[in-house]
Amino acid sequence: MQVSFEKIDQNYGGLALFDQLDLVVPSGKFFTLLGPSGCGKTTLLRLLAGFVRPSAGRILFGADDVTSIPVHRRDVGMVFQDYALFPDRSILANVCYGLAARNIPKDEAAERALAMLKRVGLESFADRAPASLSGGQRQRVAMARALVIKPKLLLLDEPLSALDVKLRVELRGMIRDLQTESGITTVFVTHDQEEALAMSDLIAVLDRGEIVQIGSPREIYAKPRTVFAAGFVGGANLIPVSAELPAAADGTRRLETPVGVLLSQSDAVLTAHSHLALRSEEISFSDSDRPGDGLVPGVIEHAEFRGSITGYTVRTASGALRIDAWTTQQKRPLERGEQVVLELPRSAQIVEGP
Amino acid sequence: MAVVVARCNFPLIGLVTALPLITLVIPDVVVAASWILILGKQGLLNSWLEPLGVQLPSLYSWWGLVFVMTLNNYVYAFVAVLVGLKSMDRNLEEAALSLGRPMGRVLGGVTMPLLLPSVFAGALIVFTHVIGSFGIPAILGARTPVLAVKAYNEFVSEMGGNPQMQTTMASLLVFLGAGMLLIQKFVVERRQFQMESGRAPFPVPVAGWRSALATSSVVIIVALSLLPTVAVIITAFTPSIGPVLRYGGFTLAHLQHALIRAPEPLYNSLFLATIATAAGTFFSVAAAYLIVKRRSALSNCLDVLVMLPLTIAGTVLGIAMVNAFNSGWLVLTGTWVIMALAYFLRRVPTSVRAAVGPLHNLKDSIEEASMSLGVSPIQSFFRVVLPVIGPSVIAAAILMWVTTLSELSATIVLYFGGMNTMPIEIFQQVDSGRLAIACAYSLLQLLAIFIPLAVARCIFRLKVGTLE
Repeated sequence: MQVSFEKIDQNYGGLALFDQLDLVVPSGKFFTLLGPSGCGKTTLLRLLAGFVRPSAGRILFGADDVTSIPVHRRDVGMVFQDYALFPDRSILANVCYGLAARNIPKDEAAERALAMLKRVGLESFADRAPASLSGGQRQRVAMARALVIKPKLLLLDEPLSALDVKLRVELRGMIRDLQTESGITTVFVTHDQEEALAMSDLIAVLDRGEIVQIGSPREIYAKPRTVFAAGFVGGANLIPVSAELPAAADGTRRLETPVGVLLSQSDAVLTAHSHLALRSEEISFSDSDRPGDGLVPGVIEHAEFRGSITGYTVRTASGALRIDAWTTQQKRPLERGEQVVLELPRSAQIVEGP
Repeated sequence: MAVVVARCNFPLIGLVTALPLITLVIPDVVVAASWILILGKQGLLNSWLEPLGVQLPSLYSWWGLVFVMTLNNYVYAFVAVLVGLKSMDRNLEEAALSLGRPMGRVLGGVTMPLLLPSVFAGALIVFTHVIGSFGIPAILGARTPVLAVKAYNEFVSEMGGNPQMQTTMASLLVFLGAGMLLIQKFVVERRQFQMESGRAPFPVPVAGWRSALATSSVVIIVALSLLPTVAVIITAFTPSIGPVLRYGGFTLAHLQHALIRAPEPLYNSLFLATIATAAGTFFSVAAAYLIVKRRSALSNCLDVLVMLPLTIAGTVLGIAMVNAFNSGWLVLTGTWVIMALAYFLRRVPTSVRAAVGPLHNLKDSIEEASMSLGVSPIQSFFRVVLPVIGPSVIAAAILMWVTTLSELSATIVLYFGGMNTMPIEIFQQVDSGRLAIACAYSLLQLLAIFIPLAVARCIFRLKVGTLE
């Protein structure tokens, strides 16, 4: 089922959060709302659930206008950050809760709930109390509870952020698998860019109530459109662009920046606020000691050995740049204070500043 | 004393933590009556000491009043401090110890300042209780006029008395109560430290003479608190001729009188308490839900309003209600409704607070989860919210029931012929010198209070903290 927001206005105590916001979540997709706290992603989710009513505009489930339909008749499954299991009921009773509300006979409900618990690997916990389960187990129960009612729409409100790193990685695979199996349109809210990149079909990047960019994880990562998107997803290095110079012989654009002339194959229009965005793993150390296009001199300010990767911070004429290098591909580790020349590639993206 | 209890481990510690329950639920009147038995002019102690030529100071004096009131109310302060101590972070004391301070100075320099808000709060509770208390001074304070009793006397003689005097004294009481509550709000809350909710300190095992000292002091205090009850029970079975008691004998006559010949006070009390509790519980849950989960200007008002009766002494509330419902479109004076209403008003603040606590801890998302699973908001409340807050609501209801049973200060101005409650009956019997019958009623009252309490304690594991 396709879900859409149409011209949504949302005011909080006189402050406008959304202004004429439009957004379409395609049917069957795993759709992620990504942004820092206060960007409005949770409000969008709560608008879909029906806990919040928009000040103006419509919310459509398929072709149906559900704007004025209350939560309990919207047929959505929701998973909360703090699990929200009913503490006085057993695991099985928790999963059966939504089925009972749909007047499904007890036997059938128990059967379906058990099957769902089995799918999340917790059938042996059916009679336990929620308090006796670990955080990861509780969140799996919450997933089972939301999915067993076969909702039209699944809403995930930062379901992983209360868990520790290892569990998070494990559980995000399970959540993605469950979504793919069921084919239920899913909206996922997170502030964690890694989670968003790993799980989503589509990502919408939000900044202060505005959707900055929508695209597949690869698109968002490789071709960010704004300084905000480039910085929030993957933490790109940003260098301001002051002017465009005549293009190189092969058509590559040449751009004037504080660190010298840089190259880019991006076709974005240049404005007064344009920046070049470069991922830390795109930049490499050059052996050349002659200056040229795309070559930037600098001094190693900080080196951090992280195992497979060594991270460097290099001081240049445009501030510090971060570089990630494969440890095994380096002839020798570079030391703090060493003079280096960086090679900035043509894949650099032109992004729009504020 | 609370410091000793919270931090040390010694025999009989369980007895002390159960203490608050016991002393809290014994009605004022019973306490006063029993102290008369023990220390009164013809009391046990005086008749023993008389041959020895020792003359105790009269119980009917200022000192007697202070003595009995202290014993009757110290528990409130004790509970407040105990809760404060238990919620303190162990790391703070350990940090101070690791910086090289001896334990004694740590207690004085670190623990005490942090405890100050709790001590203040406890003191204030005791103050408001004492200033509004009626039962004890009415019985003992013949020579020491107290505001609440004075207001009552003026009221009783109101038909020909001085209505201005009466309202002046009532206002004075209200101002004192409200003033104290304000002081608590501004002084105590500002002094409240944000305490990282850490682990509670370990109790220190104590042995040898310290253990003996601690145990014996606890035993003495508990004994002092329980002495009245014991005296009441004995007296209820002691034969008497007029006001003179003959100890050593045994009779069921008094109980028979209380149970069979004149059982109306018992019925009346049970009836009124049940009505008021049912209404109060229902109202409290609804009010607490509005206050916690549906924040708005209106529910903020409600929040303040439900706490208001706390500042009004029972007698004053009674007088105010008599005057308010004496004429006009709603005449309630002289009916049982006004009595139930007064009980309801007096106990609602406590019940609301009892329901507010667990509601605060209940996350919004639980209710939202229920709604998202297809259950309507109202049904969600009954299916998800109520079961979670249920135990503490029931505990509060039982407490309300129990305290209502022993309510005297408002009843004394509201009751009318044929609607005697137990405390009234006890008060009147004591007043006319028939101590034995008073004790028989007291015994019944104690039973009526302890049986449901014991049942509740078994079922819901009523905790000391929930009494606050």
